[in-house]
Amino acid sequence: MSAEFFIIFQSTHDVIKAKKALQKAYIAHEIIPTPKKVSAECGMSLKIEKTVLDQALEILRLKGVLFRIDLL
Amino acid sequence: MKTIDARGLACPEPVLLTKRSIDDGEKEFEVLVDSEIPKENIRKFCYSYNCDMEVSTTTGGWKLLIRKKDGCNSCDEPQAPKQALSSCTTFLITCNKIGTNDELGKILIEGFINTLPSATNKPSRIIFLNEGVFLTTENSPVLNSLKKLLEHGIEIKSCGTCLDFYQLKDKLQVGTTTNMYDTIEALTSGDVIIKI
Repeated sequence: MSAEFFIIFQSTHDVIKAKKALQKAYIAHEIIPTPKKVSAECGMSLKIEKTVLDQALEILRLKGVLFRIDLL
Repeated sequence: MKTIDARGLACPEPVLLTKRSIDDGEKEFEVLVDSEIPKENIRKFCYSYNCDMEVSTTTGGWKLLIRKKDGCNSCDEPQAPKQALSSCTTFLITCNKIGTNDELGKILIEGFINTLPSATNKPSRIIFLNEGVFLTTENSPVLNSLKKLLEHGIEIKSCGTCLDFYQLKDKLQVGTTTNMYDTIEALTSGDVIIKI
């Protein structure tokens, strides 16, 4: 199974922006609650498989969305 | 002793027959089942309905000896909320978002359903009505999670009228179609109902 990463954002608006951009580019992703080990806040993250990670990150950079990534 | 032959009956009929017997005042009776699902559903039901269940194997199935525990019926009700998610719980999802804001609502429902497969306490059944059926059909963002829930034995039901209205009848990807009879049976079966 391919490794999975999650992308954490600074705001819910960034999550929505990122989701729209990835949907438009047909990049598979899943919305998941930000894992508790990272943040106790009630935030949402995107789960992405390693195979499409670089492509996804490139799109998010172009969109100017602020994020950081971690291994799930 | 009364014996209920629930072999070959589709869910939720075996549970309903069990419930009816208890409601009719039977203190001890047997239920015959021939599949794992009704056996487990009756077990969950007994737990939430203050009954003991003893299982013995028969040819091609199981004999379930149900015994109503001592205590007045009125004692059962206050216990119900404590047992909520460990007993039979049905989620009723009538929209493809949580709350009224479209953008945030869709993120929330995705996060909600994607978290369910790893939740300690899962519902026993999820019923999708109206715009909820957009979550069980093609292009839904939560199909993987719903399929995982199905593998865990959770019933996923979509309203047939709703699928028809949105022209999604041939696009159902997970679970089965249901009708208003089943929905009402589910809502009145004694399950804890949570509307999302």
